[in-house]
Amino acid sequence: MQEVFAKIYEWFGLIPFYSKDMGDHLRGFDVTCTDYIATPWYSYVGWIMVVTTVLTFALQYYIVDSSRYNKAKHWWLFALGLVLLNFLIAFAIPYNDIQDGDFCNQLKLNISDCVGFGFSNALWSLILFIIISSIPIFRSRSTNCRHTTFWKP
Amino acid sequence: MARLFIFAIGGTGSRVLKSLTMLLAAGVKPNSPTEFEIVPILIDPHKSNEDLKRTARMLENYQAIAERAGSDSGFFGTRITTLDKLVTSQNRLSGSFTFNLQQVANTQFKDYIDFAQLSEPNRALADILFSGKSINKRDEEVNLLDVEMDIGFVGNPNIGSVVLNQFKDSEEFKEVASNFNADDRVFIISSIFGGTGAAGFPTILKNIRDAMNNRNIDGKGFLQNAKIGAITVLPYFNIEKDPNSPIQKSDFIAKTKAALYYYKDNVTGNNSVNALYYINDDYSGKPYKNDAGNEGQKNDAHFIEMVSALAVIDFLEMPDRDLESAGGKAVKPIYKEFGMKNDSPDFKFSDFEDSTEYKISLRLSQFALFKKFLDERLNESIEKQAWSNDAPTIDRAFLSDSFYRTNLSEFMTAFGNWLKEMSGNRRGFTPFNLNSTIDSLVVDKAVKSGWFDKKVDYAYFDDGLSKQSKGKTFPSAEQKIIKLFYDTTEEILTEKFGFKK
Amino acid sequence: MNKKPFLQIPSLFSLVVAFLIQSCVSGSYDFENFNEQALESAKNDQRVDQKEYETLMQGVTSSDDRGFRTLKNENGEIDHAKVSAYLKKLFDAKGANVALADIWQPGMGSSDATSFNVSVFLENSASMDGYVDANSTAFKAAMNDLLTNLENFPATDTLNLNYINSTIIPVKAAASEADVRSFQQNLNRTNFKTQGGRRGSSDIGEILSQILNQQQSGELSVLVSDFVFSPGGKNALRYLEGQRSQIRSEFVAARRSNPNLAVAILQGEAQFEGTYYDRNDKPHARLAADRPYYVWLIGTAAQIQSVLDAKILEQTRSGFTNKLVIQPASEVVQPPFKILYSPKIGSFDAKSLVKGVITDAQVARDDRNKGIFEFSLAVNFAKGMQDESYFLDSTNYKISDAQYSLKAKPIADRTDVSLNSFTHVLTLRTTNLKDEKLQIDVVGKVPGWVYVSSSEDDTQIETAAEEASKTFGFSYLVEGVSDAFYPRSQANPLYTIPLTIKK
Repeated sequence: MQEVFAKIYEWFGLIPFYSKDMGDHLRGFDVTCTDYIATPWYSYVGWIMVVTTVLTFALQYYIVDSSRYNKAKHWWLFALGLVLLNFLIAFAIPYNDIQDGDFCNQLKLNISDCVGFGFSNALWSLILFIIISSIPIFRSRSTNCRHTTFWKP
Repeated sequence: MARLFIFAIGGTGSRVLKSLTMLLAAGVKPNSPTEFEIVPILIDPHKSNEDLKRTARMLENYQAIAERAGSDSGFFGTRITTLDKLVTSQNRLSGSFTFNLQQVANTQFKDYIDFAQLSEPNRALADILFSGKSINKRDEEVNLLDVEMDIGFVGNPNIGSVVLNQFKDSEEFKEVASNFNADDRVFIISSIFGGTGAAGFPTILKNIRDAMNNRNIDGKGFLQNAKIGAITVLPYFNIEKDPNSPIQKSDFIAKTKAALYYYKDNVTGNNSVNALYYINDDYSGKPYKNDAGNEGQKNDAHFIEMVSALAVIDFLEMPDRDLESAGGKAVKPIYKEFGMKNDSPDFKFSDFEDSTEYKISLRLSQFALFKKFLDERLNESIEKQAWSNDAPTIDRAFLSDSFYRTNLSEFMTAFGNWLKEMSGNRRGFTPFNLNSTIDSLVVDKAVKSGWFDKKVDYAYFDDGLSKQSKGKTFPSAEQKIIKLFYDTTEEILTEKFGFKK
Repeated sequence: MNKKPFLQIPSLFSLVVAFLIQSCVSGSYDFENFNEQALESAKNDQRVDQKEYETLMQGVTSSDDRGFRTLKNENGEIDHAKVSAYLKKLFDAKGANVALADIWQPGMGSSDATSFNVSVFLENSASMDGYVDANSTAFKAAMNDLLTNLENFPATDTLNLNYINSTIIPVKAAASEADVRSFQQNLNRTNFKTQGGRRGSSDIGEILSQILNQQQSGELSVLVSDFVFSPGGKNALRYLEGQRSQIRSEFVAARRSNPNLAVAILQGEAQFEGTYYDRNDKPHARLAADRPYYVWLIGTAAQIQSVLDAKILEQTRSGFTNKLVIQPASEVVQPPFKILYSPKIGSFDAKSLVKGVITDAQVARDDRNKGIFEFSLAVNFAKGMQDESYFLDSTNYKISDAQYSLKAKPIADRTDVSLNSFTHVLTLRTTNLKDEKLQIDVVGKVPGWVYVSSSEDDTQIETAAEEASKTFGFSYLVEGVSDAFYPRSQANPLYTIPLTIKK
């Protein structure tokens, strides 16, 4: 799963939002620069992203499930919250590692890499949210939001 | 399906029929194992009478809505059919609810009875029978024999009875007779104090019971022993004092007395009716404008008319065994009156006796809620809320279709006006705060409120609609909108307003 | 690191979520638990005791976490050397001040090196008088420390003291502490003379022959001498070549009976005051200079390793300036290494570095380094018995692809966590990058310092530059030994670092 998330976050190598070094740090390259045995952040952040997206989906479609908040603009509000949260998570994790010196010093990491990873994570959470909410079966059991998607109503 | 043929005579007849239509539209149903199809026949010589026109138009809308909404949709659940729809033969009547009185338009009474051709003695007799003054279209005083008949019988039952006697030979009556089955029933609505009704009721009743002697018609046997109900509306409103008008309040009382005396022999005395309802109110309220009826007789709806309509429902709830007839006579005639729990110049639901309240309050509230939503919320919710987007969709195209734009909208407007008129009248009937928010719509029903209770507003309403719509399939958008709102309003009112199902 | 971490709350939140996920997914002991537990163990007492260590190992054994692979060998068994090395790195990275010796290890405390006899041979020919006669006590002090350390060395079973010149002159077998003291008090010309033997000249080949011949199996011989050949007026070069050949034969023979045989040669320096005899046996009276002398250890590789590890020689007062170890290649412990992710020129993927594989290698594209591919290895030669400097000399390396050049440098920065536990950085550079198996060998040969310290003409010892600090014919001597171990016709790889380069 780690490598799956890594590929996803690195956009299959097509659009790098951050350096390869950051990629290695997130794969769990340890502080002694020996092997990928430190915290596998890709997996953690990936799963957090998936879980928060599913929770946000559940929140709008099944917990709040209100006739007041079922328009496309509300979808975008929930998406905004989700995206910000995921940006912060993905930004803060490597940023804290950098501040604490908790990374292999052979890797060149800087703040723009943290921003890049945050951005990548935020974008994927948005994409996942779009996908989940675009598949009718997932929202079919919602009372008020079963027709709510990012483009309508 | 059994049928109920309703003969609604005169202005009062058509107004009671209108109230009945409103009740049926709201989903009020007789608590009876038999389903009845209503076949109304409006009898009024005065074709330009606004009440008549409004009623006819409303019935058309009702019919169009009921046809497409189906009979299981709650609102509009009882079928109302025009007489012509029953006929399969080629010589169909024109599709309307009105009975065509012939040779009445632009005719003076003396021409109608061929006064000029009468022999001298007969002419003298006619002079005696039809002495007195009345009024013409231009409010000029004329002799009775010179009355123009197309404004009705303007409080002259003696003229009405002569004219209405042609009913027995009419195509309409023939159609009724040939379509009349053993299970079918007849109900006659009339006022006792006017011209047309007072004259028409005994005339029509007599013609039905005497069907055996009528050589022109088929199905005589069923007709002779038909289960006949009738309501006689006694004076219930004031009219403005107008010394020039042929219609006078004091005349009402006198004419009522005379008519009742006549009924004693010809209606009640001979057991012609199986169930007879009397309704009156001696409350001296807001006087009606004194208008004989050319452009006039467009009177506001009145509480009494709605109660009168309830008589029809009550009649339908009676079992067949209580309405048996033999040889053209009711075996066990029933006479009924109507009472309220409380007296008030302005009634609420709680002023009814419990059984009546139970019968109508929920359904009328549902329908009022439906109307409020259509007026105030539909535009905002449509194509936005889940219930609207569920197939079949209720979208903007649906709104511009004639079903919604013409039939339903017009009917709901009429319903709103009906409520408003009843509320504005004295006696008044004001069960709803039509201009308030929906949580205080029903006057004497407070919405349950508490920490964990959701506020009853349109968002709650939409939520309820979407819950009802979830997982259901509807054959058409028309059926969906009617059924969905019926179920949802019932749910909201029972859950939140404390109504009992 | 004083900067405040950004957004503690989200990070805390994410950690909680991560923890939840983790516990949901695996629920078992993983590498992070291991790290935390290890740090917890060391927190209060700066050490990991047996109980704590065993608790940690239980976790490692019970878990199938991928991360623990690095602590295990190919058979999936725990490699305790790797564990302690990792723990040391971890503690350093986390600022826990724990010495490697404070991490308990199986077999620790009860020395598993079997004890052995040590025989010390001090050459007492006349050429040695200058060291013991000097006003400076440097030589005597060095001898004192050496003998005392050997006496106290736990692996020393019995310590035998001898003089040696033309014959072996036993002084004391199974010497006690008092014997050691008395031996070193008698280090003077007078006593040397009274001990007998032929002190006139030194036949080094003969001395070595005597030692090798009398050496019992399982015995470590320690030979102290100035190792100055005495050609006695003969053709010096031919004499030296003859000696080299003889010494080679002696060691070839000795290795035949003892395949584990190894030799360590340490060069010390001490004040010399007295008569120096040059290659023509011409005396140079009153030479006063710092002169080299040598301590040879002849025994098994394991014995020499244990003596060197115990720093018996380093911990003498004046110490030793140079060292070389000649050992059979089969006895060598391969050094741990890792490919560094940076510095580098060009690029490669980090994913397989731990397996010694460079993947996705690409040469640099920028103008300055166009076409160059360069990477570095950190290697731990600490277990190698050679001098640190031996590994700095690129001529001591042989690379399977001659297109690669190699530079070696010592790791000076002890605070760099990623280089902790490594001693050298090797930098490899090529302009011809291709897929290949790249093998770097450290070959056995005579180190450069031997040639620097060696002279072929000592007749001008007082005046010739640096001559006093050189030893006549020393390179021939060492070459003789070296040739016995590392035949000149062969490559003689001692250490091998296998790498794979993939483009």
